[in-house]
Amino acid sequence: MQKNQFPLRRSLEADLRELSAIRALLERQTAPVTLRFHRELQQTRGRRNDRLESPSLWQQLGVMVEIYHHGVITYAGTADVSAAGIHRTIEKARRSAEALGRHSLGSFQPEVHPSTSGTYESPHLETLPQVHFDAVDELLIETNRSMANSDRITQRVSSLQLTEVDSLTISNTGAHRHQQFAYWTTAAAATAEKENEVQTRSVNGSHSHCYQGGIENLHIQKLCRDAAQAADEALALLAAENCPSGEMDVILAPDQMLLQIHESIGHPLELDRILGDERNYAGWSFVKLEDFGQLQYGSELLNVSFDPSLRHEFAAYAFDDTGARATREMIIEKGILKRALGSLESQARSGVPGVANARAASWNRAPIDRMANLNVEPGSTSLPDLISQVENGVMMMANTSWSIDDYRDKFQFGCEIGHRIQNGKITGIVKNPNYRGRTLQFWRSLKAVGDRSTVEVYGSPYCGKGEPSQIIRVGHASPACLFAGLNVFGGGQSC
Amino acid sequence: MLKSVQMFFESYSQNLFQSLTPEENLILQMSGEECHYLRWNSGRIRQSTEVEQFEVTWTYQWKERQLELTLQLTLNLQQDLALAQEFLERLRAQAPLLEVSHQLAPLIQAERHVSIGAVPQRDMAEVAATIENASQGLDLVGFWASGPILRGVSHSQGLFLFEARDTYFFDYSIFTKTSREENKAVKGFFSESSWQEDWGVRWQEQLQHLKKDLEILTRPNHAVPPGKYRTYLSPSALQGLIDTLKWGGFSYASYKTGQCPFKDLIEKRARLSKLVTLRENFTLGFAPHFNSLGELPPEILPLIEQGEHRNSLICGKTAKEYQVISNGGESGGWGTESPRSLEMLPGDLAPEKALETLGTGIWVNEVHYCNYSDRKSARITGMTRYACFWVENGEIIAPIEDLRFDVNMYNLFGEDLIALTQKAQDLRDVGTYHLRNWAGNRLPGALVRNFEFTL
Repeated sequence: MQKNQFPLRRSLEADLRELSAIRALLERQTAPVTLRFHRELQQTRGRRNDRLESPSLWQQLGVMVEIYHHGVITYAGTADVSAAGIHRTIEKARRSAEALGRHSLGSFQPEVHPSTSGTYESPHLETLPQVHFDAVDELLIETNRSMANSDRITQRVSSLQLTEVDSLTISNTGAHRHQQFAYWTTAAAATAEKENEVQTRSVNGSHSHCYQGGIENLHIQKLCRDAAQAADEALALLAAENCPSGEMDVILAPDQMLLQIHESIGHPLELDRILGDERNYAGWSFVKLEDFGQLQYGSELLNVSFDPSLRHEFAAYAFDDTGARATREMIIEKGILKRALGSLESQARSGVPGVANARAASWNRAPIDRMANLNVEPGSTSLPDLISQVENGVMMMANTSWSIDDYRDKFQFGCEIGHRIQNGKITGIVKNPNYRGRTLQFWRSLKAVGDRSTVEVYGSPYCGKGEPSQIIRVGHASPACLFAGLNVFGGGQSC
Repeated sequence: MLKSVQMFFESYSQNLFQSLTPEENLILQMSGEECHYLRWNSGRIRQSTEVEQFEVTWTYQWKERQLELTLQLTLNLQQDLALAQEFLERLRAQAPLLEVSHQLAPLIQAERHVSIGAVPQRDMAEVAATIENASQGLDLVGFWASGPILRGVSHSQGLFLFEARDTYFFDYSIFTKTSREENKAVKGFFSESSWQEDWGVRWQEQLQHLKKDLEILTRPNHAVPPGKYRTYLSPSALQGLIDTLKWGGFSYASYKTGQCPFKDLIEKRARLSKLVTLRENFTLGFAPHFNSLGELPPEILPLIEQGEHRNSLICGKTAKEYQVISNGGESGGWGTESPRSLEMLPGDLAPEKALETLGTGIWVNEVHYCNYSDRKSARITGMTRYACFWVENGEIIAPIEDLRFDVNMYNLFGEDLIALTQKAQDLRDVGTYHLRNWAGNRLPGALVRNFEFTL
């Protein structure tokens, strides 16, 4: 490794020294056993008010053992990836399978965890050695500086996180999958203060610039430009009026559509949630199994795809963590709900068509149904035309608050900034724009969908779910979208 | 087993410390668990996952430069030290290129404290059978977590602190439907401070008690139009709001960076009701006393006392940055401090009088997905969840449809706070993101007016 090289680019073989012995151990098992090795090397750098925050590095390596015993899949994970450690863990899983299998909710055919083989790589991994500390530092320093446009800007934050992941799955039934990922997250935000007013404006919301890939993700000039604009807007928001209250048309920018899609399409359509697995924690869903193929989820303009093949988007992959090959599927077409976000296990339990989406956060968690790249497809209306359709409304940008009920119905969102629209023209900015609604009513009020020129791609490293809980990466691309008659309100002491 | 982990941590620490140069310092924080998780749906096991995981977080310092590193541990000393040396070289290569840190963590005075609890033998087949048998006829969904968890801190100037406990909990819900087929549920939580073979007896007593609430839940929903209502918040419901306030509300770093919802309280432009006293209280046993830098906060630290701000939590790194004195606050996510063992002092409302005193209004047992709707104004939105009821003249009439609320904490804990119950409830943290949390709250119930439901 070169001294100035930022990514670690550490070979997996360096960390799995007993792989031959492990393979031999695996072959000696009588029951079907799968080993999912997961290694993460994550580096985070940040600056606040031109000062370096302590750089951090996080290394994880372990294996999740899956044993298939009389139709039941039992899990045991360990960080001891020696042959002896894995042998011990296989025995632990086997004992649990024998002791607990009779209490299992149901049994599966082995095909729900197919013994597939293949590889995947994030795009442009070969460029990673070209990413140097100097360039990372330059990005953070210049972005910080670009936000220093006033004494009223009291906080200027910029950060970059690079996570290199290797996922290797082998089994004694023929599975061999190796997927390598490089995940990037960049963020910048400025906080402005005047007397008792505080406003924070970021580059498209907190940690939404999330992508896979190589050096092409170091957009120094673009980030500086966007950060400078964020600082300008933070200042402007100090003097802005509160967002007005009332029923009005709303254009949601892609960096708010990110959360709207996530909370009110992604989570309600997770099939394990519909089957009740999450009811003690993250909740259930208003969606029923019989809704697939017929429920009018949104207006005819709503088309939503599950697309793990978009390799630059944050949650791209070739296989999910149970071995299902990942393919692009339409989830909602012309407003009609077509397909669930459900893995092979959930599809077997429910009889409903799904996708390859069983994923685990790391080696220490079992895979469960997760959304991945979930995108609203573009329409045909330009942004100026979207705006011209609004007589009385707001265009809201950059999510800052999100909340939804445990059936994924009643929601409330807040954004960093609103642009007031009156008689088809933007007339000024407003602060603390919020809106609330109900999921089906909301998506059925979709009045116009922006064209390709309005599409932006975002993601999040922080989608949480499950018991035990786990955080997963997701991607959401969307055009700007116009919704009719939403319940809008501003900030302040009361709503 | 826990003793051997402690000895591993000591050996790991000593080996590393001996390899440091005079200009280097190192703080090590070890976290780990060996847990069995059972996920339940419809009264049967949906997934069984056992995890043994240990990790160590370094705070490495060289000539006042600072880097942080977290490494997975296998507990094979030779192997883990080999990895450590490899990454130490990386840190040594990076440190000279850094600036002097404005957040240099302190190396506190050396001391030694080890506390290790017993690890019982636990027959998981018996646990599963107990739960399944008691769930017959019930739609039970739940999460069982059991096994030892540990935390340790050492540093290169001689500190060694280590605490390890076996713990377990069963967090669960029981679902039913109203006569109009509306889904309803009650929430239960069972945990004891030490493992007893007959835990199932007491858990089933709790289950019987919850079944009474299930009966009421079969009545059709009472429609509640949006508006402001007299409302009783159970300790668990209050926890939903308090846990949201923990995002910056009690953090000095949050205050200094403009992200604290209690800025007006801190700067004495606002106050809360005299009924409100909140403090970090480590005598409750919810969490290890030491923080991740080995700092020992006061056993009891008042945060808000009779409605007035007293202290914000300050960790060593924040103290260095802002040139203030640390009070051992724990640095949570996003560089801000968060309470680990929070207590709100109770009031004088007898629990058995709560319904009668509520009179007519809404009884909220649980809330869901709370978030700031306006952080600066300390406004929080969220949803009611589980067994929440419409009450008339002190009598529970019917369950309610889940409602969205949006309330200002200055009002809720200010002029709209009517009373707090005499008895506070211990609520252990059941979070398991990455590792099991080791924290908790002790909170009373709260009777309030003007609690605003919006949807």
